[in-house]
Amino acid sequence: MKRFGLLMLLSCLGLPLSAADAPKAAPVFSVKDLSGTAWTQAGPAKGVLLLDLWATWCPPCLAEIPSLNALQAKYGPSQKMAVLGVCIDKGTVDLAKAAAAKYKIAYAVAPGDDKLPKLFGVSGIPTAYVLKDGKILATLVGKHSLAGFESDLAPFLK
Amino acid sequence: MRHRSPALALLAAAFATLAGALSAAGDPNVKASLVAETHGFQPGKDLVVALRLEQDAGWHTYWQDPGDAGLATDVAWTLPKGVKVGPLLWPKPQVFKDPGGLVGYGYEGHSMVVAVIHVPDNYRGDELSIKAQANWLACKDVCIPGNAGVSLVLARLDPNPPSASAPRFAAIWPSLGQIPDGYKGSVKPGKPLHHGLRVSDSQLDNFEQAPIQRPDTPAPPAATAATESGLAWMLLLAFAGGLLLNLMPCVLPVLSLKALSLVASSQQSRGRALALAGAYAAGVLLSFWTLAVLVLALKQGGAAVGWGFQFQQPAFVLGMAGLMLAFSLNLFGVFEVWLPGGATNTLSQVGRAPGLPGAVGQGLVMTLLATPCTAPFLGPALGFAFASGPLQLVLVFTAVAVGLAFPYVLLAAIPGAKSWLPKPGNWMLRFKEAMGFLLMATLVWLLWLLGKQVGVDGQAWALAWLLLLALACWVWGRFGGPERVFAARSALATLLFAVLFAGGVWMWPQALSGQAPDGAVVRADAAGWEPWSEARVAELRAAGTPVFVDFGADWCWTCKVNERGTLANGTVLKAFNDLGVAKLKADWTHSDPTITAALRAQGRSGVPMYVFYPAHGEAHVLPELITPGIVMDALAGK
Repeated sequence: MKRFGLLMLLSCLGLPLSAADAPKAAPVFSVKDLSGTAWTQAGPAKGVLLLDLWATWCPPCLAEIPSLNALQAKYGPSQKMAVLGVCIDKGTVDLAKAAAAKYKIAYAVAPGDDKLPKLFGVSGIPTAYVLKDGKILATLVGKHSLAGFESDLAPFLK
Repeated sequence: MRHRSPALALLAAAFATLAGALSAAGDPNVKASLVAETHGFQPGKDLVVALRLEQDAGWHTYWQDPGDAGLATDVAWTLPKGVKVGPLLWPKPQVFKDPGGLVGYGYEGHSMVVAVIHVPDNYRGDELSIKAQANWLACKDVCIPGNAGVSLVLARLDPNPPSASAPRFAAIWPSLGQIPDGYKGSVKPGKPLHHGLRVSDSQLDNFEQAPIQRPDTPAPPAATAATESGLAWMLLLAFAGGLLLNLMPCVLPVLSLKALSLVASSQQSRGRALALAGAYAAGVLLSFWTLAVLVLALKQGGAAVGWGFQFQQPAFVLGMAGLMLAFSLNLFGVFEVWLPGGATNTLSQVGRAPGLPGAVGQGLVMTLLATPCTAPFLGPALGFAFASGPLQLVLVFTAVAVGLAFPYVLLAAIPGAKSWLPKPGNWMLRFKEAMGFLLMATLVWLLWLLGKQVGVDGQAWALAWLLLLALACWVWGRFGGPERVFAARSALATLLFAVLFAGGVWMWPQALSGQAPDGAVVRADAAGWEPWSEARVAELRAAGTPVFVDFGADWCWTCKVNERGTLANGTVLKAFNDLGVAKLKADWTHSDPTITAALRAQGRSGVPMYVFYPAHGEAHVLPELITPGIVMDALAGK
């Protein structure tokens, strides 16, 4: 009953219900970004990891890159959040490098691993996961503006 | 034999990666099907097919050049040996501009990507199986790759009539090969080919057999049969159909009115009886001609109409309900129609017969109620009429009208024919009232139909107006009798019409704007009937499943009689089950151009129509009135 009340309250506040669900265990994974840093489901030592699955053929994914850049610039230095974009195109380093340069991506980019979308059970992209200590705290599906991201991520950026 | 354009190999690889990467939950936003421009195929002639994608609102799929991002739709064909397919031909795409400055090219709503298939002269099969694996990317605020295996089985047909999808092909032909305005990408604009077809140079280079030629669109089979002997035969069928229409279940309630007038006219002189029968025939003819003019006007306006189409309009159904209510109240004696002569004795009124205007009116009502039915012989004749020119249509309608009116004119004309009728007496008063209840039963049917169309709220408004109508009839019966002076009666009549009109202005829009309940949509029901679509038929036939299609409508009494008496028959259901027949229902209760086109493709213009597609071989169209024996014979291939 309490849980129902909380859900009602959160939905009245306009918060995504996925953020209100009890955190689920994230699938176990490990990817290296273009600078060689390894990322896992554990996320960064401080703050949360925003894991964004995207592709160069996906217009809404490309359209939200400026918002993700802004998030990284705003919350990265204070270590509240780190953004990692996993490009699921082909999995080649060259393609990810070219895409990061072409779209002026200012956050960590990892070449795709086709296991990752399967592991998370993604059906469409962009889909972003908020990860912390091996748990999925929230799932954000579809294109978000900066304000949309900040609204959905507010509980994790305090 | 698989065909794939080399230019699309990269795309295919991208899709293969995608299909593996993103969970294969299917794409709920896009429905794919394979459609052909013609009903069948002919060896040695090109066949035009298309991958049709139906996208939910806001979703789009991509053109051959998707733009800054996106993925073009890809089709990999599997065709019988020797059968070849050309490259995909793309209609002119829409331009999507994202706030981020990205430009995309693609299609929202419904889209068709066309291909021309060449069936060689020496192709021996009676059927042509076309299979395709389609991959697409559908995007809105999120992108979801989709894929589907689609197929189509076409029969060898000569002549080869256009399919239900032919109008869609006609609509996109002019835009094939065109590029969007201001486009600077690598796709070259198409150049004109035969019959106005435009494809790009690169597509021409890739085409595996040249030249591309748009196959001539064949004329509907009924229209080609417009020879003089054909017309005479159709008129004979129309006359026989009109004659048999008298025995159809939808005409039964009006039989009561006519039965009464026959008995009434038995007291009259032969001349008077003949005049009444003539007036009745004139009423029938007049209404059929009105209907013909209406159909011609609608056809001129491009509407797809068929026999009984007016029952698809809730306003018509409500009008008919008002008429039925007024008639039944009249039979109950609530009010009398103004007649000169001042006769007040009820029995004598009955015995006096309806008068010439009344007989014309009966003819009009007879036609209105007869139209939801088709009778044996009537199907081919009406199909011919709807597909032919104005003159043929009017002639066929006239023949049906003459057939419908014929028995009554005959009874009046033959001197001894009336001798078998019972003698007039007090029983006629009871009979008249009893017939009123039969008309009330028709009213129940009309209101049920209206409820299906406008839902319970709309139906309630309709009932409120009918109540007002009943009140007006009662007031007229109580205060509008012949004992009053003419001026008072005129004033009362004007007042009552004004009240009914004002009530109508207020209540009719409320009644007609009601929403049809979900029940109006055909769903797979307990008896295993599932909704019809061309795609579903093709899919089932491709899988080698025999298919039985019931084209019907709620307002069609013959359909209901067939469904309850024959299609729900235990033996028939068992046979369907034993033979693994898929049962599809096409509901024409509401106007549906795809069903109208499917009826037209079989040379029909109305329901009921029953089509059985055996696992192998050509479709078999059953008669309008079916018995379990007829269905069993069709299933057995007799």
